[in-house]
Amino acid sequence: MKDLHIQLIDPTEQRLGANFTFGFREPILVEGLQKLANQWLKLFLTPKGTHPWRRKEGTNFLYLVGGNVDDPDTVQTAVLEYIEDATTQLKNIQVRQLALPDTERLLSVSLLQFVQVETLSFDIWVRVTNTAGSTLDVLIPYARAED
Amino acid sequence: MADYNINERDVEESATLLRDVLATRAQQRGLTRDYSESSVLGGTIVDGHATVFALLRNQAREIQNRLSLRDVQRLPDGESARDAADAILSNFFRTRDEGRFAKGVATLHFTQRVDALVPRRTRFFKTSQLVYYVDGPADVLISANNMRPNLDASGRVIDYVVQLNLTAARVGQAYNQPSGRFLAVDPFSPFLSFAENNAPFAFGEDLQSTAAFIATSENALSLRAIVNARANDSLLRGELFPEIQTLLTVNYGDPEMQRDLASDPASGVALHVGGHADLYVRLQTQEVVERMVVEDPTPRPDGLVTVLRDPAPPSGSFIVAGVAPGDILVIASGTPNAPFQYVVRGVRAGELEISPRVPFEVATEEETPVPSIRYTVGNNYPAFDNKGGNGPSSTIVTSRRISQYNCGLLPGGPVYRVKQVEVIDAPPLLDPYRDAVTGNVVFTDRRNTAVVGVPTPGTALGFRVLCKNPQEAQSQRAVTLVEIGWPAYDFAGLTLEVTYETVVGFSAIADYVSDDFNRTLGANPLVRAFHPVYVSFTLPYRPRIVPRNTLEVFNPAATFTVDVETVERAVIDYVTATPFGSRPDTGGIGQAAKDADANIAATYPFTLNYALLAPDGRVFRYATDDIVSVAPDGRTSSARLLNPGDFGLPPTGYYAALARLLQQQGVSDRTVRYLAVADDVALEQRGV
Repeated sequence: MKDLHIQLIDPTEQRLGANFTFGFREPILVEGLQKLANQWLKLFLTPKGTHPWRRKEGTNFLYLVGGNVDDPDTVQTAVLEYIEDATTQLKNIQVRQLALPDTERLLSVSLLQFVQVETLSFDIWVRVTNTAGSTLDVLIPYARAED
Repeated sequence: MADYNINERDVEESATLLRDVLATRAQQRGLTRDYSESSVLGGTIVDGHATVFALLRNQAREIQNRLSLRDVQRLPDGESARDAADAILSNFFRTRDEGRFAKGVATLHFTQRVDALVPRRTRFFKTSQLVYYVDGPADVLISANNMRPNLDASGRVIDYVVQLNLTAARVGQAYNQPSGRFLAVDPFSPFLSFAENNAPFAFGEDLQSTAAFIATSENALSLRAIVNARANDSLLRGELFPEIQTLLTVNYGDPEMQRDLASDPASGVALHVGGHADLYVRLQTQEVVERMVVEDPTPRPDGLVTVLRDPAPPSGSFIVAGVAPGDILVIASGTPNAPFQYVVRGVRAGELEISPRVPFEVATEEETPVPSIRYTVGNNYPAFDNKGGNGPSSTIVTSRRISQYNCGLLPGGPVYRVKQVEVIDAPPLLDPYRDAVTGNVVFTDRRNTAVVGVPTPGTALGFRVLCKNPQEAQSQRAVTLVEIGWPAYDFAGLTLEVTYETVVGFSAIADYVSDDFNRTLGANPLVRAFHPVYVSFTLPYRPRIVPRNTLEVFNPAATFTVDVETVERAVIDYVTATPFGSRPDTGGIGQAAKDADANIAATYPFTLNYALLAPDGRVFRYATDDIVSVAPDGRTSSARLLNPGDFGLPPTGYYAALARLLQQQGVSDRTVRYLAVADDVALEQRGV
């Protein structure tokens, strides 16, 4: 089953909380591993408590952005925790979806790269793996408040 | 979300529905779209619209619920359900009963006998929430002359009292407060010490509930006329007089319908000829006081002209002339239908009373000029003149005014329990019979037979209630007499005060139904109050025991306190509220007591006494150990008649004869209602 593709906005044009678009010209439908990565990203970037009724859905990742971070070393630990949280939530959802193909069923998400590029700016890459064994490396987008 | 009446569950359900709709629709179009919980489409389209969709769904559901009365009456009785019911039923020109104001009488106590002006807006506080006002459109001036001294046992003046009618500030049953002092009164006189109500406030009714409004509207589409049971119920109870709690129409062929029977004396066959309808109404009861002069000629409430009055009868008195009931009175001239013959039913010195079945055509004493009547009376066929005659003379008149030896005539209307009968201006000759407290001659013993001997002073004095037209008893046409005293003493001219219970708002209903414009053409409808059955009993009970620990085992058991007054009120309410078609029983009374106070651990078997005030004025006294029945059969209940001898019935095996006797008066379990009063209900603690 196809899902709507969410595409990264040019990093220079991203605003806080506005990292994606449904399409630069027209919406695109995707399936398979890309669809899976989209869904994980959506869940990862949903701030906890903002869903109208599934209050525990999402992670606290976006609360880091613009947050009062004293020690950059703690950020990686927090990001790891959020990745784990999002992965667990998506797996729990997919448990109820019996007809899901292996290409769209999540196996794991691992932190591939965590690099501090400025004082408090990071490149965060994760690797999404489905139960079919395929992987996709994904850059986690975010924009700082002052951007 | 509270303002919009949706919750998270509604939103979640709406999301699930949206998901199903979108997925199904995509599938029908041959597309594969993922609207699942984790998908981007689901998150944006489904989750994004679920809240609005839930709001619209709930509104649609609410509108749907309010389209049908069936659904409206299942809703909580809130403002929107009320609005919906009002709107739907307004299509049938039905309006909700807006409730009633509680009414009562306050006794004001003053320290000095000085005029007082009670402004209309003076507030009488029963509680901080329950306020009463003067029942009237204007300020009330209480004159010092109207203040009655309140004496103590030694005859010393405690204070001065006056009574004032009050009405509740708002409608509602909450204002039916029991007797007791008022918490506060707006100051209007420096001499007012306190105010109290000695009788409970009554007649307060809440705004009609939506369920009741719908229930009373079930027959709203029937014809708006007094033509059948459905229409009667709809028009009278449902529309015009919502204070009617129950309405029963008895008519053609019903065993209780006795007014339309045409009987053949030879064969004993009685046939319903139709055309009559008795409309029994159940209304709230009320105590009233009536004063009348004993033996004062008073118009019959049914308007029939049954008396021939002659100031100079043959031999100076009809009695001396030997006229007897059964003789024939011949009016030879002076009335429109003369000559005509009438059957004599009662004989007094200057009066003959004829059978009400064939009354005189006119009351000549009311005509101007008074026509001259000539008559004869006797038992010698065909002349009927062997016991005398008189006239023509204009002093001989026919009259609708009746009087009877030692009797006072009550106003036409239902007469329930007669609480007190007293002569308030008794001459010194009756001093031995005066009540020590009131100073009046008080009659307390209601009897079924006349008092024949001179009573011993100090014993309870007897009185009787007689209805001369039992087939119209408990109606506006009822001719109800209260007979006092004993044959040897003529109470004529003395003032009789009778305190009795009747029903509230009866005359308005009776007037409406009998009005020529409203009643069905050719019909003879009669509004009647249900025949009362008064229940009395002593309920034995055991209170709950306070649990003790083992160290206290030698102490006497302590019990929880039972609120006796509340329980008594609850069991009275149980009896009084017995629904139409059912009867009170001992089990129900016990249960009502336990429901009223959880500190009652058990109730024990007891005997229920009850008294049917029959249409003819006699009292049928019964007892039962289980369920009440006015016509017991000796098989399905333990109900038994305690005074069969009063009605000529044998002590046992009277069941069929009793049923027949009651049927002849139109009494059955359908045409009675059950009442209980605080004086006749008691609780008795047992076991501890």
